[in-house]
Amino acid sequence: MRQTFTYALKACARLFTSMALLYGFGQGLMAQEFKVMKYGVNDGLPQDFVYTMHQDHSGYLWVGTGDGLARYDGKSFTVFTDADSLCDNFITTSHINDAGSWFGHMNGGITLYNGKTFTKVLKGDLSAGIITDMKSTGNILWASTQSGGVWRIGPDLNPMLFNDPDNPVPIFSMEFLSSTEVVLGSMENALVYAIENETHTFRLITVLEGVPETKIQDLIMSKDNTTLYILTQDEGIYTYNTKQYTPNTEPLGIDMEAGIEGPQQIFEDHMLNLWIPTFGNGLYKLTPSEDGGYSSWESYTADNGLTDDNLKVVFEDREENIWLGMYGTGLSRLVDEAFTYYTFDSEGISNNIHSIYTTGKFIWLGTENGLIQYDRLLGEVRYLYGRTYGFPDDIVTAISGSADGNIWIGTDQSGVYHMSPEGNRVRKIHISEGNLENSINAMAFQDPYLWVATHKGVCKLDTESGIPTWYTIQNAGLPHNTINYLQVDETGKVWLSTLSNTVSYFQNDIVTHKLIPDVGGAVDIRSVTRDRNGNTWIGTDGSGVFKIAGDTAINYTTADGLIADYCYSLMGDDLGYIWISHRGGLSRIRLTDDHISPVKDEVGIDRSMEFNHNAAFKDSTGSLWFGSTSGVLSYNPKLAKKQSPPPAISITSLSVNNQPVAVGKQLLLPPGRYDLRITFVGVNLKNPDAVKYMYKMDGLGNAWSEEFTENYVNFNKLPDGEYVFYLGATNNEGVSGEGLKFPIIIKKPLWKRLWFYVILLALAAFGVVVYIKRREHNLLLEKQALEKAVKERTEEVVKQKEEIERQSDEISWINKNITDSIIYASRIQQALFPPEDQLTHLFPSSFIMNRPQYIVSGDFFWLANKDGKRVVTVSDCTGHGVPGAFMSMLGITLLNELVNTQGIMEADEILNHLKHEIIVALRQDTTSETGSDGMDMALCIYDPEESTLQYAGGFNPLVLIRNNELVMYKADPMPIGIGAITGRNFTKHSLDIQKGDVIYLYSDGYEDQFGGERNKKFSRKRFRNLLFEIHSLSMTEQKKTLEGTLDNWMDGEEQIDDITVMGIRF
Amino acid sequence: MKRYVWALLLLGFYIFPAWTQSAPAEEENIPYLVTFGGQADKSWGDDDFCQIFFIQIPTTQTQPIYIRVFDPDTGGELDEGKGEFNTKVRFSVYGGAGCYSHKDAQNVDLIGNYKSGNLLASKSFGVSNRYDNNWYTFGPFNPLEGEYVEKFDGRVFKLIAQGESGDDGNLYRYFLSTNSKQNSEVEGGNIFTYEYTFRLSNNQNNVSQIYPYIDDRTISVRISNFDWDDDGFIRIVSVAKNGELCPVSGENDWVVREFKIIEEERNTSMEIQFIKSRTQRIKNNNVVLTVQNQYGDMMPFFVVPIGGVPVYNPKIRMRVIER
Repeated sequence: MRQTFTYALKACARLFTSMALLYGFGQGLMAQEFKVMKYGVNDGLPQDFVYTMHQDHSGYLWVGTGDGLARYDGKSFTVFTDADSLCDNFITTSHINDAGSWFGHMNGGITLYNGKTFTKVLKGDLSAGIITDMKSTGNILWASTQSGGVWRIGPDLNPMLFNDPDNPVPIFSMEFLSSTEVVLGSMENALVYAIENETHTFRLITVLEGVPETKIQDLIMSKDNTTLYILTQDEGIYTYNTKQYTPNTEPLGIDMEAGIEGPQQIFEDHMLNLWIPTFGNGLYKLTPSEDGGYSSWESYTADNGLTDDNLKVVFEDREENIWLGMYGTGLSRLVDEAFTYYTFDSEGISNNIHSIYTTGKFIWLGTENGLIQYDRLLGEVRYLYGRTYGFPDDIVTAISGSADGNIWIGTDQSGVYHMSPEGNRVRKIHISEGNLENSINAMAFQDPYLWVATHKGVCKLDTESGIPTWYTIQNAGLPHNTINYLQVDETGKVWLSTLSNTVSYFQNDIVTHKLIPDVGGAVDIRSVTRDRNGNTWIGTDGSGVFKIAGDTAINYTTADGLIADYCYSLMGDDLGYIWISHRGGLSRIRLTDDHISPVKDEVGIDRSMEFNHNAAFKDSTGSLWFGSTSGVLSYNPKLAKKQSPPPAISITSLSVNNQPVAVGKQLLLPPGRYDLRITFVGVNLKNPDAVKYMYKMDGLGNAWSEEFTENYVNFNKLPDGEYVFYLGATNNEGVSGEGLKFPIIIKKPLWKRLWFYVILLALAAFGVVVYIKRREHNLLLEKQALEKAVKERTEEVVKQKEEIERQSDEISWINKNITDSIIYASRIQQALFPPEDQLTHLFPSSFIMNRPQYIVSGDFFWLANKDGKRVVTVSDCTGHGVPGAFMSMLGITLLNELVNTQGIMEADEILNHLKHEIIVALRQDTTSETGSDGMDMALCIYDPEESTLQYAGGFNPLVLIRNNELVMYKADPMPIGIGAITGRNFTKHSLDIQKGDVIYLYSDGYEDQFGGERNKKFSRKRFRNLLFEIHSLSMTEQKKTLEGTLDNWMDGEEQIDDITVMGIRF
Repeated sequence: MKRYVWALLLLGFYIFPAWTQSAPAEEENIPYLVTFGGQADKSWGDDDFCQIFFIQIPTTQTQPIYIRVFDPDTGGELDEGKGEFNTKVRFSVYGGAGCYSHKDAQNVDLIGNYKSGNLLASKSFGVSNRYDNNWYTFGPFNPLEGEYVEKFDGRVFKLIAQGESGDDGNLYRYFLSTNSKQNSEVEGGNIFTYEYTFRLSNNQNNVSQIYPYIDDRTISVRISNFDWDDDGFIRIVSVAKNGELCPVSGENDWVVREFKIIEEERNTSMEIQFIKSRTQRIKNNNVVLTVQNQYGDMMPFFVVPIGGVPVYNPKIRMRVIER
């Protein structure tokens, strides 16, 4: 706003207003408010005295105060103090260059923040004095001090003090003309020095001429480096053309009566506006004019929106927000300059604005009971209401006008009024008698007609003739008689929004309808407008906004980003946006992509600000006006900022398994599975709540997440692997930047690494080799040991062999001797045995089969022929071989004695005596340990004459086969010798012998012999059957058969006993 | 007469709605401070053409403070012209470490770095009528820009008025305020100096007084006065002294007198009354006064006496000073 309101004018206006209201007409003040967002100690700022601000490379706003440093991310302040390694809590100035953020302190110290930590580059030095200003040349930081020196700090962070040794002056500001020339602002003038790097001194070149002797408050170079702005303490602003070769300066011409008092800083924004905060007089903004001067200016004070009139510093961030460092009232941000708020501070004038209309000279505002006329040029406000002006006590719901200055006023209940260009009174226009027809919702002038939207149809009023023409459901086919709004577009169509699903338009008195398709339920259409693409936009009460493009209708609601589904007005601007008013804010739709962004408190719209139905107007300059319950908001697209930059995103913290870790260029973790939380920020200082994030984690998947607003992401049990975390952020306009890329590496465990396998393989191979070598070595050792053992054993074996051979030889010798002895004994035994022909002599048909197990036999047979009787016996002595032979010798000897000598011819007696003699001979008794040696025996005595046969036997039976019947005579179960049974005599069996009878006497050797397929005994039964089978054969055949059968049975098996079988056929 | 005095007082309250944090203080009944231009004659009542005051701000004060100067420029009816006005006086405000604690800062002789500390604001006032009979405001100042002084439990600023050029006497007053446009006391604030250069009232009936503070280390005080022009006498009043007289100096002359301090006088303010001579009518008398303790340390004059205006223990009868 041009500086048109002065305190005096305001005071006069107040006085006049209070007087005028007494007479039923009013003249008041229209207060233009510059809304600011305020941040103070209660918001986290360490102190309300702000001395310096700058924005770092991560987008953070740094705010230096008299009692600490604050970093603002758009949502909250983080405070740093000397406990965080600041040199001092009092920050007087700050600066940013490639090294980071620099902070100068009241105690003369300088602190550097490199993005992670603070470093005290220069500790407080009282003799050096307060740090007053900071600038950079390349990577060199220069910090001026009030004591007269300037610190030079290079990349090595080693401060060196430069000054003018001849005339050190207190320095309050500093600016560089080049890397070798600097201008220092002193207590009295601005001095140009050459920088002597070798001597660390400044050499005075000149004093800038034309600047009065006064304190140089600030020095800045213009953005195009052509002009040095010199801000004096009380003598205004001077400029120095850096391209000239004279020290002359020129005063900056400002059309300002009182001048700028108490200036603190001069700041140039991106639009080349100069901002000058002051102590006591608020903030000045000087706007460049076409001739290169700064003739126009604006004033921001406590009276029009600032928190106070004391400001220390101004700063513009990369979003083009203007930040105000207040001196005692904290930090403020000017809301977008495109938005201006108007309220009326005079008693009696309502701030509830229901309708708006503007002309080049006036702004007309309809209130609850009258009309405000604001003269834009003079800044005068007239309030027209009551009978004095011919007004009814009614709400002004609509205002429209013609190019020649006629104004028509529509009221809520009282119809239409007219005010001529030169008039001060309104005059009612009669359009109808009905109440509903006089209830006006909207009006639009289409020369010469005034279109009037009412609750009972549309009235087309011919303003020349005064004749109204009505259009209703009945006569024009309107969709509804309640016309909420109407608008005349550039093609001459008169658009109507009705209480229905249909919008209609008149063109050449023809009504055309557009039905909103695919809408469930009734829609209360409140407003309608056309965009520059020819689309129709419809605002509804509760159903959001519809965009009708051809036959297609698109519905946008809160789900798409609208602040609310209740839309009170719709209007398009010249930048390609559709604006929708709601309660507590505006929604803005970008026509290029229909992106919807909210416009709320970030531009100063209070939540309590309720916009009224169709209280909106677009003036001839393109500015939009919105009426609300608390004044008027105007939006000037020409002052609108270009598209906001994307949020500056950075990772603020990391936690691994709930433990914080430092944020570096990457995250490197040892093998394992981790719970990871990444916290980040997308710095948007103006509208932080609208920042949305999305991410993807390469390594877990390639898809981007959905948009979200939380500022952290959790990953649970993240396994080993190489990941890249990508983070993107969009601002409220959907603008996104390049995003952030953060590598996360969780090392693979050993067993998942290739080299591990290589090493493992190598180790395995090595192990195998070692094993083999070891084994070879062991085998070699074993071989050697074995060879040694073998050698030893061989020697031993040889010795044993020699011993064995010796023993064998000895045994062989012994064996030979024994064998020879036995063979000899055998011959003796054979000699004792009756010859086989003796048997055939006594029994012509007989055979004897005698197979000793060894050379000599324990079995023997014996024959005797005594007294015509023939005694025959087969005996089986205990033991085999030599013992048996001895027993057989004893038996034969005793039998000879008993039969041949004593003549005992009774079979049982012979055995009894024989038993007795053996017991006697062997000194046997039942209790002694003399053994149980003896013999089994079958003894028969055949009396040829009587053809009788006596048989007695000890264990050896007698088999008789007569007439193909085998009869076996059992022997007594006692041996011929000591036995278990004592005192019992042998039994004598007497038989009559028939011719052809065959008897068999035998030892148990045949039937006990093992053999056959199952290596079993031949068995007594098989033996008897064999005897029975062969008994009819000749005795010679029988013997062969017995021998053959035995050989087959044994089939190589060893003979286990002496075998003797005797057969006799009678 | 009383009615006129009351009327004058009422007018004074109207112009100076609050005096308690002004220098000179209301209780001192001293009309103005005075600083002459650098080329003035010391015999006119200013021994060094410089006046140093300290501003004490309690730590509880977090809002901005202002230092207001009444009639800082020269010229007009209030200042003492020596021919055509030609004087420039620079007023400077210092803060930060050393502005008070530096040893040279508390020395009444302008030697060494008596301008210690950070220069926060400075303005030179010449011959002008812009602020004639009006206020100029320095500030706002962040209270934290003052130097923290533990014994005051507050922060201290330094205010130096120094005659740069010319030979006129610049008469002015100070006020410590929370408001840039009107005088509004800083709660708990105070103003003090170690060398008081001021204008005595032209009215023979007015008695001026100042209140040096007697701390607990003081055994004796040495009161020095300069260029009194033998105008009346100086009385010392304390809780233990009932109007001991102190000799006054003559033209361009220093006079020193030492007074013993007893226990009960410590940690109280002493009242030093300046009673003009009723036998000779001396106008525009500018004087300088200092008070030192037995160590030679300068003792501060507080505009708001700590402990209040001293009231003599009534061992003797009180009497009205005004005549």
